[in-house]
Amino acid sequence: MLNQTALTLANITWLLAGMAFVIAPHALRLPFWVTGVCVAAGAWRWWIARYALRVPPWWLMGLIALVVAAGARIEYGRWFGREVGVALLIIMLCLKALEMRMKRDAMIPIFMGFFLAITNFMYSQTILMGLYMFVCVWIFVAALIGFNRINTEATLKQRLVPAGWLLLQAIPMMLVLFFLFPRLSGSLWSMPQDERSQTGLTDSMAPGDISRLSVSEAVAFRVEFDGPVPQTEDLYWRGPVLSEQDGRAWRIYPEAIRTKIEYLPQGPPIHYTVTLQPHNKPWLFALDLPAAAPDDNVFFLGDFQMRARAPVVNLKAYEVTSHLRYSVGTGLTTKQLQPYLNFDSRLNPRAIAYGKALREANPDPKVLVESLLARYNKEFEYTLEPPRLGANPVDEFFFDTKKGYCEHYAGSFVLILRAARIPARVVTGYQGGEINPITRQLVVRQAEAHAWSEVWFADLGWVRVDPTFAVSPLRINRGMSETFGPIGVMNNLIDADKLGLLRQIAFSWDAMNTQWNRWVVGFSQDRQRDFLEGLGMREVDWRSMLIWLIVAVFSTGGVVGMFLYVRAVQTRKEPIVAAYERLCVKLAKTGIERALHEGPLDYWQRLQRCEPNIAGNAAPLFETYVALRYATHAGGPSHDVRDFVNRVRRFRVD
Amino acid sequence: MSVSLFEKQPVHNPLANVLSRAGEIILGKDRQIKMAMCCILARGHLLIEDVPGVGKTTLSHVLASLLGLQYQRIQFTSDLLPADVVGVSIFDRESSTFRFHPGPIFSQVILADEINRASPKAQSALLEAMEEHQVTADGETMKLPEPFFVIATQNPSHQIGTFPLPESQLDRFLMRIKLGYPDKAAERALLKGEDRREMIARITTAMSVEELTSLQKDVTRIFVSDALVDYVQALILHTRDSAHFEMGLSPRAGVALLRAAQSWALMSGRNQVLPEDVQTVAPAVVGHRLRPVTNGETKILDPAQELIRAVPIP
Repeated sequence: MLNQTALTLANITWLLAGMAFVIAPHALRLPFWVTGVCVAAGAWRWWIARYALRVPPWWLMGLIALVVAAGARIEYGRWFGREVGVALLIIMLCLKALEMRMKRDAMIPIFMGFFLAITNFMYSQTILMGLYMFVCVWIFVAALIGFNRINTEATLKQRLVPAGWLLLQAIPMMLVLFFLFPRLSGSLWSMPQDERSQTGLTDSMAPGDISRLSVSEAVAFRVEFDGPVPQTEDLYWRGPVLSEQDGRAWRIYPEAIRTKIEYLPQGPPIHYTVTLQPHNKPWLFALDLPAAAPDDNVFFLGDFQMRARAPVVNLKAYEVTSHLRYSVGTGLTTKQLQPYLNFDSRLNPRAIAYGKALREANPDPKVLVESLLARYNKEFEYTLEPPRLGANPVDEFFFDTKKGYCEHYAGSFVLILRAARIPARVVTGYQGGEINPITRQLVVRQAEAHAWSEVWFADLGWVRVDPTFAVSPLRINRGMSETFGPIGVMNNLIDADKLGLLRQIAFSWDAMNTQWNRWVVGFSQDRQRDFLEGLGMREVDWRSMLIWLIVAVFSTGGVVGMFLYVRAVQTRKEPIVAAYERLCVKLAKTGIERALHEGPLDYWQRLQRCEPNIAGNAAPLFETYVALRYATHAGGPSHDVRDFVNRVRRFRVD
Repeated sequence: MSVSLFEKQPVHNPLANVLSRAGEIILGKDRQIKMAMCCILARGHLLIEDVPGVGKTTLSHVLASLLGLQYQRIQFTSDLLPADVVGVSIFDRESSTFRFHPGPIFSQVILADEINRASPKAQSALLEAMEEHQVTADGETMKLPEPFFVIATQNPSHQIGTFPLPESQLDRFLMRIKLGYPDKAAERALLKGEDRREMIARITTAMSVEELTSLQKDVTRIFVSDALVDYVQALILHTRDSAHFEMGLSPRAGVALLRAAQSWALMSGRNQVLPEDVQTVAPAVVGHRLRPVTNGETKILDPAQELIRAVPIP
């Protein structure tokens, strides 16, 4: 009976509303037919509830599930991954809601809905999404309250108010778990990426290629050092070296493979192991500059690019030895250097002219490079969202927009140097990395993709010059995320001008977003450690964090529980009522139990008919109770109540 | 504190007198008589519902006569007009003015017989009188005599030729009671005994109007503790939250329930209201105000009992 009354139209409507809310942000990303299936299942369910129809039989549900699952397999071509996982979860949620028969069944869609709320954060982590998901969870809790009511239908207020209180009561525990649960170095929302959207460096670089990576939290590789970890500014992870300019893009120079170059280490060797995530490309990454190939399957190109013989399709670990200080390529011939002086003379005439003029003004290559870097330092701005560039990208960037990302700097820098007859090339790879204090590994993410340049001087050989460093030294010293943290905020701040009130609002909103990114989205391992050390904790590692977490969970639970207990005590029954209930419990031993709706007089009379002696003994107690509770002096002198309580305590049913 | 609750209390003498003498005429209906008296003491209007011929009219007759009240009977029919109830202004040739001829409503006890046979228009003529104890005719408002009661009888609404009373009018009756057929012994005594009409004609007053008014005042002085108000509120709230009733009890119904319980406590010789009093009067007070939900499977036969059983005494 009760189970059937739980699946009322109102309860179903609430559940469907919660589902619609939580699926809505996904709907645009899903294939249209998945959205269609969801809408159809929801409508069908509502129809069933509205007209008290039967749910579809099990074989039909099974058939639908099979067809839809097969459709998802065909659509996505795989069973695992973020997109297909979310799609399957949504489909299963809708089908489960459709086949609910009793109250117990309704629990599953609700808890799936809670989980689905989380999946939205895999796509967006803004404040608005956070608030929206809070609303979703609120609706689901309200639906849950409706399903758990017996007999009567819950009103809007009876759903939303207790649900809100439940969520509010959960906030202390949420904060404790949020701040104290040991963070992994990975992004909180990282998921196995789909192949089609796999990120990584390619064999060419055009404006926009690397800044596209800058938003990806995917791990590129992890490094375990045998000794101490070098300074962040030394962590240049060498990847593809791009020596050939081809229109807008820089590409790998195919001839470089043959050249052998002398390598003179000038510092202590650094041993480490790289665990590379599969990226479907043959190149490997090593600290600038690797000295020896780890095994037979790895070889060096002439420009110290390290390559595997086959594309890396599985997780690959390899040991490398590098030297941070080195001398390489001092004895190169003019012929060998020729490839590093070529450029596409059809494009970027202004930059080329500028390079030539620079050479005339500065005969010494080192002075020339320094003056060029000085120009970058003075006039340029580092941004993740550079303006779009046209047919002559270097010209437009270097002379007009002056805003760019590392690939703009490296590309224009190398082109101008080549125009000035100085051999130079673009090196792509990663810069920096983040230490995971639990594993002591250095984690390098796609967001840390970088491009810099190498310049050849007759006496020094190839020297690494990073024009980005000239523009934004912070980028190199502190790493990507700390410089930019909330990606794009800086730009928003710059753009929000001359708008008066709107400007104020924009600033406030940006400030809020900054805090949100700092404390919620970007609350990384490091931030967590800083925060906890700021609270006075020393030597924060995951063990102490776990201990603190347990302590805090229990103490928060204790405090909240205590608060609720005190509230319960305050609304506790009056002593007189409690004593009367004890009396009734004692009298119930006679086999005559007081019904909850039975008044004292009726109960006594019923008792008297069956157990006249006991009733006679109890009569004075009943009289006192009635007098204290219902007569004129009800709630009167408390000593009467105490006296009554004592008499009830002494009362015995023999 | 020697209030002995568990022995029969000496009840106010004229009151006991009224009850026992009414019981002599209306046989085997002591409880209904007591309930009707309870209603009168609580200054409420009474609705008696039952099939024809079980003594509805007799009961109202007897009560009016025993209380020594001025008594008018209005037979409600489908062509009854409001003027037939309230009165009418007739042109007086000698004084050349309209003179108001008061209708039967200007009386201390009105017996509105078969009220649900009248059209809604005539029924509503009673409304103002019942609630305000006054009538308005020709733009003039006139006080009705005190005390003023309406005792209405009605046939069960499934009988032919009835206009069911609207909720608003039902709510104005403090109580609705049913008489039911007499038991075997009572019926036998009735058949063998004297003609009831003659007995009524011989009735002498058992209680003066002053005694009645003072008893009515005493009713309001019966003590109602907070605990009891909690209980009444719990009952009312339950009717509003429960899915078993189409509509919850109105605040007026709550007041009525409490007043009737006070009256019952007085008649039981107590100075304070107990939950039992509320439970005793509840069927008569809330029975006609609660409409059970009829959704096919769960039909409540006795909404008042259902209500009492569902709500624990706090």
